[in-house]
Amino acid sequence: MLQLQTYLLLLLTGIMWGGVYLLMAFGLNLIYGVMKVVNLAHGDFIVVAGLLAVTLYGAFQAGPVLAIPLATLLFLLVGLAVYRGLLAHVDTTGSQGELRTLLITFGLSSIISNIALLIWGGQYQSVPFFQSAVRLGPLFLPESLIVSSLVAFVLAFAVQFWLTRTRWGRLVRATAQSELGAASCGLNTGRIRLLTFALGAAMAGAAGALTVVLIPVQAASGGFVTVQAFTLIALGGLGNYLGALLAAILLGVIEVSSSYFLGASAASAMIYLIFILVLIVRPQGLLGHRGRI
Amino acid sequence: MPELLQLQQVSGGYHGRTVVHEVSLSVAEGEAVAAVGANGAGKTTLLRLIMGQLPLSGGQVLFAGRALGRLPTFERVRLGIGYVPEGRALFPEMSVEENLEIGAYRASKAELRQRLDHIYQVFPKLQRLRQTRCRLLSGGEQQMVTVGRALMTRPRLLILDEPSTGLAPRVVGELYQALRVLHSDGLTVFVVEQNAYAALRFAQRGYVFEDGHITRVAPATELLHDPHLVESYVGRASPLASSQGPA
Repeated sequence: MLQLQTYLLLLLTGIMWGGVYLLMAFGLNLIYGVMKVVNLAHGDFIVVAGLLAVTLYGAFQAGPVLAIPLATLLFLLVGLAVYRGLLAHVDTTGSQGELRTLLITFGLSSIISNIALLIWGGQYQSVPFFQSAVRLGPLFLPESLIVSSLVAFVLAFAVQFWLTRTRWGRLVRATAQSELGAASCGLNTGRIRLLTFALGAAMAGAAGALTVVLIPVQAASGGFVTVQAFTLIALGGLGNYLGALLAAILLGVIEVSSSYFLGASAASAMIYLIFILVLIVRPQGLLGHRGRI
Repeated sequence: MPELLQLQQVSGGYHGRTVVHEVSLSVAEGEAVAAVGANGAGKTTLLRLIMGQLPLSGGQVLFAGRALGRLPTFERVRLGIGYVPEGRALFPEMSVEENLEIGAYRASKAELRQRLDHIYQVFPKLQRLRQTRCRLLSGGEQQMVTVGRALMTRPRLLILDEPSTGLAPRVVGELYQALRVLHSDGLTVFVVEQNAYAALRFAQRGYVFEDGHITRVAPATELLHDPHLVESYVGRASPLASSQGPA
């Protein structure tokens, strides 16, 4: 009986961590799906949003309820500015284009993390919110994890609904699937790209302001967050939103259970091992065509 | 007849390499015109210049008397140029009907319904396939969706880039039959083709395109019966194609 409870707890916590990882990868996935741009500054957006939430908490005792909308709005504007100021001016087509956007967003990542270092210093910080644990029968689950994963899954569902059921979402998907086709339908694809990038950045802002209650960050954590998010979306099939959901749950469960059975360092090794296996066996991601944006 | 599309000394290409050299041509309102030429003659480049997918390095493109300058592709579509690009550029993960609907995404519900009905009339097969993802369609069916999607924008001029590429002769025949119907309903059509035989049997006038230059312009029937042209472009394709019977 105890065995079963342990497995159940591991599974549940794994799924919840999966939700958190999904939240942190969502913006990256959307931007890649539509624009074929890997935003290497994605993790830095998340980290800065988290540090901003820390400052808000320090100054006004404000919790995520205030920090999330503020960070979302701020990074929506950051996204608009980055697209208008940088990405709109480069030719992003072809393999040369990919390299250009990688270099631009890499540079942006360095600038943002160094500015963050000047403002917030190098120590790990967190927001002590949702600190209690919830008892679920015999199981205890940290509140911060429950809240973060709930928000993540709600957001995942909302974005999928938006992409498949609303007019604007369908236009975004059309642009993702063929930019030339979209333009030949009279769609202003430049505006769709702008909207997508801003939305992806806003999602990073929301993710950062929320997950800082769970994962402490410091100014230079951005690079690691980007790598983690990229691993997830590559596993799910770049730009595939259903695949990302599946990959997130898989990664969450594997990480939680391997760190329980084998220890924390084995857990991160396990994730990369699985990632390499998927690249060899299913390089198109877990789901392939199905669920592509 | 007033000119709907006019190219004046248009030049352009990729990364400073000129592919299309001072091309002048025109398509009158209600006309069906073909530009034929071998693979690599610059036909696709010419259409990309017309659609604003590439910048001109010289000359100008006029549509309905208006110089298009540096207008982006989507603005040209909104002015009334329907575009069937090379490689079809469909939305592969969306259904046939979704693809068509996006062609008329700015139309009202009633208007959308009306345009869809028109497309299903032109291509009855698409009505049966309306819930199918485009990725799963055959080449001919995909080409019908691309043409249908371009028609959903309510164009005054339909421009097609090599619509017969990769299609079986029978399917090419079906496609051009549909274009004939659309043209007889008053649509102006400009088609660029390597399959000179199919295009010239459809068009009223033809341009011959060689190495980025226009080398001849004549009524399509005249070009079809030109032994030199038949040899170089129509070639061995003609006996096969003519076995399909009269147009």
